[in-house]
Amino acid sequence: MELERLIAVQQFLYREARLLDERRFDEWFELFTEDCLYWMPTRYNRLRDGTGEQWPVEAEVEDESGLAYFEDNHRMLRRRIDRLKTGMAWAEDPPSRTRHFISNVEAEDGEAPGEIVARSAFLAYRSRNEGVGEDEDFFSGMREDVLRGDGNGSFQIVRRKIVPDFVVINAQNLSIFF
Amino acid sequence: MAVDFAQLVADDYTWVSRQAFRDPEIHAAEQERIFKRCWMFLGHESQVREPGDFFTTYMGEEAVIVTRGLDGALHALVNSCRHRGMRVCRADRGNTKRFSCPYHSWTYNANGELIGVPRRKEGYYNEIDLSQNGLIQAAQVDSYRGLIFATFAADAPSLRDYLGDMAWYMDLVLEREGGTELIPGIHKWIVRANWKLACDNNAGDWYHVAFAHGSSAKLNQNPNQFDEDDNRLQISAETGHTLCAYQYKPGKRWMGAQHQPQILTEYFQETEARTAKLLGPDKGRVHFIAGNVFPNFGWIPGSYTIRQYHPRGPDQTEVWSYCLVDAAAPREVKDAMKRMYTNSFGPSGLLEQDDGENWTGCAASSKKPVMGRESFNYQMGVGHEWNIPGLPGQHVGRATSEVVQRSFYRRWLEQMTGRSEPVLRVIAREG
Repeated sequence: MELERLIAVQQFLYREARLLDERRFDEWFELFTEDCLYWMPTRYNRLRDGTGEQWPVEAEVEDESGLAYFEDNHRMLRRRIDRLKTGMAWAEDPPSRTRHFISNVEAEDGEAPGEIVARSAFLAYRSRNEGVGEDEDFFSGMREDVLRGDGNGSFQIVRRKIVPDFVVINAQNLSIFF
Repeated sequence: MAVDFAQLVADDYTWVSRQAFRDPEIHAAEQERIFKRCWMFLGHESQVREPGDFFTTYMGEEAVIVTRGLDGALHALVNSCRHRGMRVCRADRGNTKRFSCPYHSWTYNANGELIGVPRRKEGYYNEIDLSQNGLIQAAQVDSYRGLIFATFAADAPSLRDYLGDMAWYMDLVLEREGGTELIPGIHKWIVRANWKLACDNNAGDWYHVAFAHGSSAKLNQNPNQFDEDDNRLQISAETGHTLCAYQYKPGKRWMGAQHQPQILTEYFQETEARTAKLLGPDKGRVHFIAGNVFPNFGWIPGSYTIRQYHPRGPDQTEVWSYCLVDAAAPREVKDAMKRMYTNSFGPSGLLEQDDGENWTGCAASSKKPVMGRESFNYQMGVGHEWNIPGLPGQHVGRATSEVVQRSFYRRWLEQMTGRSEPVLRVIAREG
């Protein structure tokens, strides 16, 4: 049962990543519930002050009152996707060639009945234009998703928290999803 | 061979050589003549409320720690140990009594004074003078309505004089009951382009908005985002500080962006009378869209952001972008402002994304053998500047003008050559 659930979650996350890499953004959008939150808080170097304390990651990630790279509700996610269709989204014209590598998947019961918390690591590769030099970017981080059954044997994302492995984005923008 | 800076810029500032955007020698000279001479924006007093509070930032390429000292005063300390130069602070922010170097543990207090040297007796025979080995400090630190600035130049004019007429426009944003504050956290990202490309855009490039940011206008189904009846202006505050602004007809005021959440509309309606009273009739009619405090302090107040374009060599800029909000606003209003900013001009913002795309492309072409010998064109609206009574600043142009860029490069050239330029010709408004 546990294994079955884990495989189902893994397959869901892999498929979701493939939808992004195939630029099937409308189908990807359908994977989010109407009350969703797509959240990527910023992170900073925290003072340890020689105490030797092993600071938990959460302590160096901004909370809800701080700045986030993404803080999207359903409507904002929709706007990001609609922007790509305006013919004037220059940062994605020509579009990025992306590959989302998803690994380290864990699944456990969520707080609400029927909800699952899925954790995964990602490495996202972006290639643009000729794809050399400044046209190549890597983004690394972890995701904590709250999933809800979609009634058809698969899932929808209620909440995605993306914790980046950077303090300064080593790229000119975040024009792709994670 | 020494660069002749005057040859890089046209006499009327209508072109600037692309060499200025890629040459390491020019970049090195900028560090001396601009970033060590000008007042640099460091941050906001809300980041350092208590003694011992600190944050780290840069003045040009120099890493600095900004502290609220034990004496309650603000200090800008160069983040480099006086012994071997290691960074003594590797945290982005916090509160501390001391900065201890991880190499040999020379230790400094929040005022930058050296307070501890290991083996002082056995190694130095008590002959080291601690008072001569404190952290190097900025020559002057001051703040203007909560914004902290510093300069390495002891002979620089006061901050207030440096800001000049620009302070009048900054007040439009900063003069609030309860002042302003920053949302915690800083968006930081890398653009592979010379810092001046970012600044001459932020200076007030209204021309690009409809095209570079056309996706937003299309999303809002509103290709003309501004009311034609009101004045869209570019303003040079005459010291290289510039902005583009919106001057409303008497009695009208900016009430927030279109498509803003209802909570912001209600907030502006509720606070309008008090803000109008604070600002007075002239200021109250002007809305600050975007601007740049020379050299690299950008403002986009309509989207609740201010940012520093830190140079990183001639080919790269590190953008540090902040969210500035009214301190007395309710939490929900601040959250709404934060999302408005993030969704527009954060690094994932629907407008910001396309700016980096353009600057990177502009910079790349300027390194090429053919186009690298050409210049950028800044001739739009030259000779068609005027003054508007009641608005400080000597040169005003239409939204479709490049008077702000010409002002920026005029100041750039003044800094680089150390000489004063003749004042740009001001003519009466046509028609």
